[in-house]
Amino acid sequence: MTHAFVSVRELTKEYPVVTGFLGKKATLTAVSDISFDIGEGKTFGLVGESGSGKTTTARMILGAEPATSGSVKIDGKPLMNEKGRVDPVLRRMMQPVLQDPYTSLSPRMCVGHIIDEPLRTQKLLSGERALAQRVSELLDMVGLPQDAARRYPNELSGGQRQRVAIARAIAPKPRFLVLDEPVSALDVSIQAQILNLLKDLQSEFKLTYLLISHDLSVVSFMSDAIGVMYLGRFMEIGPKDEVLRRSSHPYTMILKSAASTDEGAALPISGEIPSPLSPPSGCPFHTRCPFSQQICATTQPELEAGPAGQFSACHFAKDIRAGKPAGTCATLATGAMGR
Amino acid sequence: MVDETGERPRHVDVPVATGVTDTSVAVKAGQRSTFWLKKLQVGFALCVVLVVIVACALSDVLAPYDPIAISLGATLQPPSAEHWLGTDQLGRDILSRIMKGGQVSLLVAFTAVFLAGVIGGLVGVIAGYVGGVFDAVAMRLADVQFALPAVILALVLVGAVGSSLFNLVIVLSLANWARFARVLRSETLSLRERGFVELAKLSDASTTRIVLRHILPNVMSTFIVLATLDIGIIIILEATLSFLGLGVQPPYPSWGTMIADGRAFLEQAWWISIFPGVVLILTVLSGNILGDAARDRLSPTLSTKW
Repeated sequence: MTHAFVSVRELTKEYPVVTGFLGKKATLTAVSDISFDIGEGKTFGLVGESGSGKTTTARMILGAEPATSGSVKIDGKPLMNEKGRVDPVLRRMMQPVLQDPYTSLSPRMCVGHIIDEPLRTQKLLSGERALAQRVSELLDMVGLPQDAARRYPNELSGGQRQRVAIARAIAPKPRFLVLDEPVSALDVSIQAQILNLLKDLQSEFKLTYLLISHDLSVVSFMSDAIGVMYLGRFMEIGPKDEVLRRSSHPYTMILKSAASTDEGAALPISGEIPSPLSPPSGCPFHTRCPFSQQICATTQPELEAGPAGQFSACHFAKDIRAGKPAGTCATLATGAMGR
Repeated sequence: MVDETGERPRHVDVPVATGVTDTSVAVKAGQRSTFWLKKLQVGFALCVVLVVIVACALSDVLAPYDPIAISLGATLQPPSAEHWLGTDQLGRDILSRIMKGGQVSLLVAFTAVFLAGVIGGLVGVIAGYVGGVFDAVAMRLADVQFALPAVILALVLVGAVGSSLFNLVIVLSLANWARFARVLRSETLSLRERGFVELAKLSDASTTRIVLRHILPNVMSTFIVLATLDIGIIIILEATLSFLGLGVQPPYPSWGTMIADGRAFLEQAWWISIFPGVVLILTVLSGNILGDAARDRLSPTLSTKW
């Protein structure tokens, strides 16, 4: 087992909200009791629908948002210092890459200045010469031409913009990148280029990645371990092959079948993700689960260890692994064939 | 969702559009004619503004007559070779008076817009970015300012402190800062949530740096457009105040006082009021056209290059 570079324990985020005409107070639980480790140089993929709490988790790990409870440790050090601020050393160590390269780059700043901003603000390099030198190295690393430094973001394509965003992120030589949907705003043909670039950079600089995506194929291409989130909780978490090949949670199976190109393989799922303001009783997924039983509506399943390092929060995880019960599989089969 | 045949949308062949080139050519041709019209309009506006500014700024040198010299032998003369735009009831040359009056009007308008813009803009950006008590207080003040009609506010203030050019500038900026504050505040509110501001915060950028390097450059184009449009509004407000006798004091002319003076003679000598009125309208209209053009030009996404 590799040393856990990033270690997240029981992380929870609750937002107080005021609803209705009378201003009734309620609590919105965006992320609930999340724990995972990322080994140094590894990639952890967070998958889930929109509204499942992926981005909130990332923002808490970056220190952009305070956690309600729980802890984050990076390289063995707690993220927040005693004053409740992000440890400055750790902040320099991690950098985000945001989803939309159209809003994450200031339209009035030239690419050179966008890339060298963290170097200036964190006073890592000084002198225009040294900064220009570093920017030119970074442009090379991400495969952009040298004259891009003087261009403005609106002169660049989506893929080029995301390369700029990546160059900016690796400028301060971080060890940990938080990639929040890094390719979801891009064309499929460009997605592969950017993902390959990220992989190359990872092996060159021993970077650790937290990758957030709703696209299972992106996550499976990039990750060593995967966590599947639904309504702020992990449904299933474990090594990539275990989670994807031997899924033991219906939600993972549904995500997998939705991503598959195989005609007729899609499992039935209906409706939208429920509101986190009034989450379903029992298992959060039971309202949409095709195999839901009585127990699912009353008792919330805990994450339980499977045989090969994967954890699954389903009452029937063992049965699913064993290919039982017949009723479940029948539902599965008819569900697939009935279409 | 999946339809009855079990086919997913991504497998449906998109019918190849035919005649695409024809329509795009037609669109281009249409664009070109409006494009030329726009170019002409902007060129015209630019000429008007340049001529007015040069004529007014150099009125002491260029004006054919002394704008305040009374000549009782040549009262109420219609436009002629000698007096291009005629003379008024005291025999003063209208053209010379328009030039001198414009000097005062434009000076007042530019200074007032500058003051209103800088104060209102700063208040707006800070209120939008920092929020909190400052935002609440500033926006309630702006509400008060919007609730009071600018002319009434100006009347009260000039009545209280007396009329001088300096007071006029102060009154006009007080009557206009709130518009800048409101618009730039809302612009800042939306910029504050954008990814690049978030990224700057996560790289320990100071608030001053974020405001100076990320917010201000991005609100600049809005600011310039607002200021250009505001010049027209302030010229008219200044003319209104002068018309009511609260602006520029006689014998010095301003466009507003000239229009007011000519009212009594509209039937015998229309040129006294009409010419300054036409110049006023042309100047304000041109200012607005240039403001629109500036908006088109300065927006990085909507760049109509000409």
